Amino acid sequence: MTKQIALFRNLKIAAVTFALLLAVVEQTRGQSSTKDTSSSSNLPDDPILSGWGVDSIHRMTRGVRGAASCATSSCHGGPKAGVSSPEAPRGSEYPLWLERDPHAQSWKTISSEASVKILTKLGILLDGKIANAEGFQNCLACHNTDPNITAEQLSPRIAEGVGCESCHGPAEPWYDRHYQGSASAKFAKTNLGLTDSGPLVQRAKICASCHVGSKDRDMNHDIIAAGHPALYFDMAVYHEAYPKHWRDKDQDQSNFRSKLWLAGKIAMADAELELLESRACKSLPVSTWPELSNYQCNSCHFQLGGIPKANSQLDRELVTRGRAPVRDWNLNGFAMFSAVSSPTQSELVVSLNSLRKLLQSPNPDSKLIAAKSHQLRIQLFNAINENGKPTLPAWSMQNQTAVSIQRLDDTRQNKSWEVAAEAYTAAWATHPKSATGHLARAMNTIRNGLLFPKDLMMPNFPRQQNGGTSPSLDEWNEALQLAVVALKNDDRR
Amino acid sequence: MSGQKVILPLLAFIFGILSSRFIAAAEPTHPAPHATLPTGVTSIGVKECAACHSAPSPIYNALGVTRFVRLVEAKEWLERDKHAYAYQLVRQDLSPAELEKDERKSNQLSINITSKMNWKPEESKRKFEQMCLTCHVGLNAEEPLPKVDSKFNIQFGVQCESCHGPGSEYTKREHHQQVSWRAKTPEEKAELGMRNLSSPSIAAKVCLSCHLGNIDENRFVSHDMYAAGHPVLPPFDLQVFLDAMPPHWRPLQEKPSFENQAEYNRAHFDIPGNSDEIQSAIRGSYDKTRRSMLGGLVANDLGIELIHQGIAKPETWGDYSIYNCMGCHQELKKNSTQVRLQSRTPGRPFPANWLTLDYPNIHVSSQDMHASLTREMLASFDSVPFGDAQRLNQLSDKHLQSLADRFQDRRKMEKQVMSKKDVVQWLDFLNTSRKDSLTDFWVAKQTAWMVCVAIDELVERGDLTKESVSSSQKELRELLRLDLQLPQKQSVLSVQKDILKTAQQFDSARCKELIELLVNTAVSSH
Repeated sequence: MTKQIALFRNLKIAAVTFALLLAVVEQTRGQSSTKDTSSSSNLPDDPILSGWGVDSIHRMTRGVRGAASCATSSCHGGPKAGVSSPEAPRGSEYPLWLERDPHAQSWKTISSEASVKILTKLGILLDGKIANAEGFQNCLACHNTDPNITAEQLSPRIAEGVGCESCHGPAEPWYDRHYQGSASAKFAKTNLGLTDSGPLVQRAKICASCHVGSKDRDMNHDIIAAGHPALYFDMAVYHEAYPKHWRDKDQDQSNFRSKLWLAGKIAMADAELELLESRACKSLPVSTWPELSNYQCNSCHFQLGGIPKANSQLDRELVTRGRAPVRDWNLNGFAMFSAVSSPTQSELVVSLNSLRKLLQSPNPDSKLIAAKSHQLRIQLFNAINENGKPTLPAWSMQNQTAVSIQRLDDTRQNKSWEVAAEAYTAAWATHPKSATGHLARAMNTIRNGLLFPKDLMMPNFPRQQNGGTSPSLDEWNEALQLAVVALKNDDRR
Repeated sequence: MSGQKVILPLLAFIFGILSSRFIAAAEPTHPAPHATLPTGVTSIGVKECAACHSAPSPIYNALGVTRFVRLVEAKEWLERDKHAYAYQLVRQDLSPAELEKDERKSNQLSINITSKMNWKPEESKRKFEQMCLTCHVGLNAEEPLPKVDSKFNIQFGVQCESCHGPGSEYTKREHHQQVSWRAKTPEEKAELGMRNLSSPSIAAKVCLSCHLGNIDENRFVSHDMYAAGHPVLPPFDLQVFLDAMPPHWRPLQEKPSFENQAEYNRAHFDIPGNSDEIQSAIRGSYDKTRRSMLGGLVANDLGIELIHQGIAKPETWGDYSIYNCMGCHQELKKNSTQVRLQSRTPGRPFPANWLTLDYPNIHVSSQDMHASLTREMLASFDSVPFGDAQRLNQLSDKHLQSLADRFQDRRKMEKQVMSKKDVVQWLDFLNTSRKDSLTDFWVAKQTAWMVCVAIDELVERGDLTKESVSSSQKELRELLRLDLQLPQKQSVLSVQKDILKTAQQFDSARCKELIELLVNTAVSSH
């Protein structure tokens, strides 16, 4: 046992050293990331982000060329006939994205009437003109490839929505080199800032940088209050729905979805902490503190006189009555870690709980919270670090299916929407059979019970009477029981 | 005259012996129940007061004393006034059988609340005294709880001296038992410890110290306490609250003239004319409306003061109970009417409405300064979530000074009487200035109270017919649950739920219509 702990310590030291080394390399590399750090100067250096290998999608990184520059028919602007090998690049990425990918429509979303209302309420738009450029750039950071558009430059030509370089990194540093010879793409990935979206944890981190947030993309409570939907990302669910312009080698394996789900949980936790650190450092012009979207929506948003069910189940050691509990949606990855007992894991949980406690105190101390979340990110990185890359740890896959069923079963006692919805996606992702056959009906009932009521912008869960397609509480519980038994039987086979 | 001087204390002594059956035996002296008192003045306990103020003897009647003082105060209070039960409602030493029997479940609620407060066992008794009994008995939070059998007997809840001021000085034989006491100015009486409760401002301040809260006096329902289950405090209207109490006083208008009447009038009022004219103006004053208006003004100022008190202390800064409940506690509906932006940044909690409500600025010299400070306060609350503590703190000194000036202005204001014309103007002002704020249940309720007090008084004086207003008033009363009397046989918690449900679902458009209708009836009758 002591040996094991010592091993973990050594690993940790090695990992930190490596992360710091990476940071130094990052500094000297220069060429690939001409960062504009002026507005994030109060954030500490971020070796972790480099460790995750996604620093090139940092919003401040410049050098975007635009999706059109990838669209040459001989490159990514196909279609190319006869490409059947799953290993072969498709060559038709651009048209696939343009025609079928919702990300290509993102510019329309932000130009819509609803968005104009939101922008006006926030004072970003005033009389149809941009009155707060920094606020607008914060929006564009997720809704457009190049966030650094000034009011004068605004035009549909520049605004392409979320294009190639949003995820793959601005092309300027590697555009000329990435197709020259068989090893050139790999070289660009390792050295020039072409994001490696192959490893699932890294891919999830790229998605999470907008769908959760990052140190320079903050969809905060002000914006939600102005009308923007709150974010509830799930990697497995989103990945399933995504019109893919690539093929994954292991996409047909039975545990692929499960891997995605896990990768998502880890990346979401890191993204949430990165965002939290940035908020606590007030690193963006839009940053506010205390930031209310760090807390569960229905801890405050409920009709007075009825205590929300979610709150009645809280651990009162952690959350004093009358204080808002921290939003767990993006931090639940840690709970999954805690299912596997090892010193590193329990350290993670201890650190997370102390961070929670700080956030739940009356006047959350921003400096302390920034430091704690930074430290927790290092711990998390160390826990998944393999040869300097964030990797799905083998232990996280062990027992994952059993754990996910257990969590679904637990929702019968602990009926908070977030817990139940997360348990549902976990069961769905770890048990591919749940989408078909005898299980599908029960799963569908559970899902319907989790949908937001028609006129509410938040869950009202669990509900006694709903009408429409929503199940009654009894029906919901019955479906839950059915699903749990069936999933367990599936596992035994 | 000199005979009376001897007889009064003598009778008091005899009656004291008789009435001691009423009140439990008393031992050591309890220290002053209020923080801001003349030095050396202490409370003497209900028993001492009850000696005279329980039942008038025939001799007092014969002497005409009871035409000024009813002398049934302690009995009325003990038997009928809810303040006397303030401690009984929250006491935690009942047996399980007694707890079970209690239909209101208030003692059980009290136990539940304190158990949810996460107090350490060793400090819980002290905290209960400091945070609960400060209002439920009227204790001075700094002092240890006196024994149950001490002079200031906590079993009697909020008692005489909690409001009137500690009696060790003014009950001395040369003071308030004497006829000459009537000629003393309010300031002279205050020096001996007696508060001038005939002044609406001072009375309101005394009530509000509990009914709104005063952090400096440790009387404050924090958000933690609300979250643990403490019922929500209703809005405040001095006249409505007084009406809900069994009266143990004689209104000034009912008192006969007395020897020092002219001096008394000059000390309390600032009206031109000879003493007869002054006397008749005072008797003709629309005093209920006057009390309601002045009480509202003071409540508003004290609400702002409470915000500043909260800002000043690190342990209370940011306590959610100084914010508007509905700012956060609302379900997120599409096209919700409850979320009113009113040029605020979306998503930021906003303070309770004391900073946004207007009051007429007649006779008020501190208005401009106050208005600009209030605007700055609102901007500071909006600038970051929960407000910019540093900026708000910088405003505090100036704002508190302006509030103190305003309180002096109120004191000047209340030296005037209110005519019918003033009442109609006041109604018109309420109707116009609060039109847009009536979506807030608490504002709507307080406004409706104020309107009803004024309308009732107009009816009482024959300026309006009862029929012209009664149906609208009845509807308004039901719509906003204006009745202060709560059901006795229902648990406090379920009554609370009903009230909160009303607060969130009430028809604010109809409320606006009804208020407008009532005010228009009054205006057109004028």
